[in-house]
Amino acid sequence: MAGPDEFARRVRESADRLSAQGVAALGGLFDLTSVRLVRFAAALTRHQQDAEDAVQTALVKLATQPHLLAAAACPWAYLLQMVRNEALLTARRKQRCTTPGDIGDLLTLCPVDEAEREESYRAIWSALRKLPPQQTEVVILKIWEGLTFAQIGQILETSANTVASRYQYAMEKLSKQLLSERRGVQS
Amino acid sequence: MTTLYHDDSFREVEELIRAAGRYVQPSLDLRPQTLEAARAQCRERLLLRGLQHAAAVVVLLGMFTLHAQRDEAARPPQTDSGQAVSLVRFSPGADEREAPWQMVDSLTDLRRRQAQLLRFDL
Repeated sequence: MAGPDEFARRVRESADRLSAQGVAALGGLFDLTSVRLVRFAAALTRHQQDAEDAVQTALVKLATQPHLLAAAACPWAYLLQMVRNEALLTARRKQRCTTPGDIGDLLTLCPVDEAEREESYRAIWSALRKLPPQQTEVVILKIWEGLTFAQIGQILETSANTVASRYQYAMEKLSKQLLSERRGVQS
Repeated sequence: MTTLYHDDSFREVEELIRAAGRYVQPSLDLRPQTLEAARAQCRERLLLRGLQHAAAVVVLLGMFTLHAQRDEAARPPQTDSGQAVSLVRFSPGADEREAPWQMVDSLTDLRRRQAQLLRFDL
């Protein structure tokens, strides 16, 4: 997978293409970002269908107003922010009753050579879903998107200190849960 | 900010989480649905923009017509000078040298007739 800077550069190129070619270039942007956007939104909405709705809404908005993305200082951060806003709106509107840690709604893919790790992946997603969404999003943006606390702070419109603090709390909880589970399995 | 977060303390968990990054995937329907919705939205916007332009043209034409009609209505009836010109009678076939005097005669005649009209009005 591309590093954060390389990925951000590719999103910038895709945003420029979208701005120049219009909706015909949306497929490229979708292929580049959909996996990341859906997993980010799924952590916020706690439901894959809602996450996909949020991603679709954000991308459709961009297709009709591509200059928004092209004009952004960092299109990837802008896109994450858009999807986050849509995800929060969807989550607020739908108010689903879900059990904390339930991941039954997720559409998962585990390559054959990683089959033995599937249980671990499930445990990780379950643990992420048990965290408050404000902590989950920080963990996702930090670990999966490789963003700095300052960059995450810009996306979440909060200070880097608050982001770091949320990350600290989240990681403590995740460490306790995941590592103890892991050691329990190993022993 | 870094006082709260020590890079090494969570390395193991971070690695575990990082490995699960591609476990959740979008559904296969999402791509075609998104592209179709975007195309439909763009078509709708184009149509709406076309309608807006057409409406703007109609409104402008309407305003122009209304303005022209108002101008027409506000224009004073043919001016006295205009009437005067139309009322001045020249006798055809007059000699070129007589033309200025004929003009004087015609205007005198016109004045007389106007005076008569005014007298009738009073």
